[in-house]
Amino acid sequence: MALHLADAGADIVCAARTRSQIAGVAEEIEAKGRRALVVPTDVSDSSQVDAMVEQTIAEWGGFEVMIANAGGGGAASLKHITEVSDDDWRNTLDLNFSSAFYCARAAARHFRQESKPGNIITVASGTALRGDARLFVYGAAKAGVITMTQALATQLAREQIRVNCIVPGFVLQKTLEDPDEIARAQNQGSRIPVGRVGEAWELGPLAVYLASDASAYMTGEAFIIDGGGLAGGLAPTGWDVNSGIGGVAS
Amino acid sequence: MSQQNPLPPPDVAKGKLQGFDLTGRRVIVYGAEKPVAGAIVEALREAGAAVGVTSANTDGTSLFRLKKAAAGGATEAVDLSNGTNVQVATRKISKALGGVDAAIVVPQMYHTAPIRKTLDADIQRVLIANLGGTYAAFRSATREFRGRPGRLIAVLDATAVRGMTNLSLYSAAQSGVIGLVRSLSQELAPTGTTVNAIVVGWTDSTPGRGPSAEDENLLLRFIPMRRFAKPADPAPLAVYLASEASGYITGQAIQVDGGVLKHL
Repeated sequence: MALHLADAGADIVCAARTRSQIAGVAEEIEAKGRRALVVPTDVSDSSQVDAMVEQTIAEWGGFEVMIANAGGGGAASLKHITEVSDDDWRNTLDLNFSSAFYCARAAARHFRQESKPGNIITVASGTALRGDARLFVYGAAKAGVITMTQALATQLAREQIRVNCIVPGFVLQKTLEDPDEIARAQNQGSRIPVGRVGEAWELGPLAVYLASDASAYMTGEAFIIDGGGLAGGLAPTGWDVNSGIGGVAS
Repeated sequence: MSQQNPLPPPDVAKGKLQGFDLTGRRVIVYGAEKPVAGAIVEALREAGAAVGVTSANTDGTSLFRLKKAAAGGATEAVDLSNGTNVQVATRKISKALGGVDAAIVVPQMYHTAPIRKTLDADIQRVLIANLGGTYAAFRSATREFRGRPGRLIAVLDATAVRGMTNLSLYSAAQSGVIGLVRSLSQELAPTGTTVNAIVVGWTDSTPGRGPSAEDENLLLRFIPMRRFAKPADPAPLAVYLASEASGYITGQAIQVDGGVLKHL
């Protein structure tokens, strides 16, 4: 997303827990002739989010778009409910749900203080919209993100602040090289209607659309990009009702 | 295994702003006499696409507006209720454009009446013009894709997802298109063809929208953005969905609504 936004002319503040996670992206952004500011931030800590915003304002004078992309399943999401500890629950919600709230709040404060229109983009997951036995904590957190997005859109619309959510299905986070990882991705892709998992760059044009005035009349939208998974789901992918055969067993 | 995805995403040309450059793409817009469709045609052309247009109806006003939208390009007068008419027109436009990569249908045959006053003829006319017409256009365009990945897009209005008094028939026809989009997305996914809908909220030209001044219009105050959609508002999304870069988005009904479908 960052690289496509840079292609479209944006300067980018890159925030992640560690500098090493984002240094490479920042270099690529600068190679495109745009500015990049690296701010190591744990977005599950509201004080760090506020500090990141303050640093951005101090160095660049402000910003127009906030993308709250942080998230991760974590081991807690893979447990049986009887084994999920309070800490597992809280940590998963902090990383996936509270982080979006902290980012949205910090951005809204900035936009309000400057009395300028703004744009907040959250990122959820298809697991927010359908039950997944293995990902119930993560799914619950991301469902919160979608509902928060809708509600904030209605709250902030009069201040000309738009709030939308990208809802990715299975999308690779990086280019795969390990044969086992590629095999797993292919297996996963065979269960998705378009026959493949998404690639990270495919989120880029969507981010550009939502971050720009091209989407000026869109707010509160949960924009699903999932290769058709959520549009189906009544039978295994590829099931043919004419023959009663086909599909991919799950 | 060392091979990549069985159906890799398109190799979108470098140096272009992915998703918003349609150079070399050929698009048919059905129902181009509608204001929203006219703006989509303009945006597609601005993005570099070759565009052919048809009407949704063959009355005089529709054909007059169609001529304007065509701007000298490929154009056919079409009644979306007539599948043969749609098929012949699609073939002709495809020949003129040298093929078809995307089809956009704007099926807005409006109808408002209480159910007790709705006639059998109304049911036939409204269901066929909105739902049947979209089905026919998608079918004809899919034939022109000839196995290549295509893009099918229906532009609906908000009655496709929300109920309103005296709009039961129109709403049923519009929401039926979303069912079509969902199932057809599954059927065509293995070919790389995507099928989506754009759901537009209240627009400047929606019948019954009331006065433009906010303090005189309860409806306007109900829309979080406090304005009606301009015809151009949905157009950039149509460009993106018609591009090669949107290949992982399918089966969706995406709302461009000023937030009106998001609150209680």
